[in-house]
Amino acid sequence: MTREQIKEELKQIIGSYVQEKNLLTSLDEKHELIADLKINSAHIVDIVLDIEDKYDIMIEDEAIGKMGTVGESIDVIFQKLAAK
Amino acid sequence: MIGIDVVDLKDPLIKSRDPETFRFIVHTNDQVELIRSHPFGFWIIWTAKESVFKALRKDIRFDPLQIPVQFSASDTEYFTFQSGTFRGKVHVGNKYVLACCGEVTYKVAERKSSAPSMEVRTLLIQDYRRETNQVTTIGSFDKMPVLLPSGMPVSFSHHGRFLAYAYPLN
Repeated sequence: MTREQIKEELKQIIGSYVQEKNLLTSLDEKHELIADLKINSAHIVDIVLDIEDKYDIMIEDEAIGKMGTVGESIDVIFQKLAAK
Repeated sequence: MIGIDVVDLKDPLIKSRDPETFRFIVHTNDQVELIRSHPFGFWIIWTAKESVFKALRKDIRFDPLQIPVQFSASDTEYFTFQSGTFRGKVHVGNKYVLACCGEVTYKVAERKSSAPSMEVRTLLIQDYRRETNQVTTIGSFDKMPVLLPSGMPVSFSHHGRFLAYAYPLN
């Protein structure tokens, strides 16, 4: 699976939690989930749980501090998939 | 410093928080045994930590594992906590969980508009004027919200149907 494919799938996952859908049109790896995409912080764990379900992986306990941007989230997924 | 956080318990996007999810927010240094078995334990801990994070007023990313909390007392609705020199209280209502860090005047209200960030700021300005007879606006200092012209720190939160604000009690 390519990084771009993961980005597209991640876009679907986080899209549920983005109120202003236009923010998704030019999604960039540098975008902060909370500051840029305006995802409510209460949903960060929901996103982590969605990712675990989607890829059948177990995300590390420290995920919330490490998955602040789209790119960082892709990194975590990529590394977990590579280790499967 | 002060901080506030509210979580709408009926937000349809929120998944259930089973005990396994505590691993994302509870550090070994936390004292949360009083809370773990509570039906909304995850949110009690989460909101407490986020209110402390806001009280720290640092332009950094929120990481609940980096914010220790110790819960010391509780009744059916209110849970008191400490984090370093900060003290606070969590209120578990029927519809929301609300945490306040520091000695604050606060308000939680149901959202009426599709622009909660603007709405909660307007609400604070109106209420503050009514309470103190002083005209104020919201500004920022080091990227953190303050009342102008006094520079008094304020804190805002909104989630789902609810919004909340807090400012120092005195």
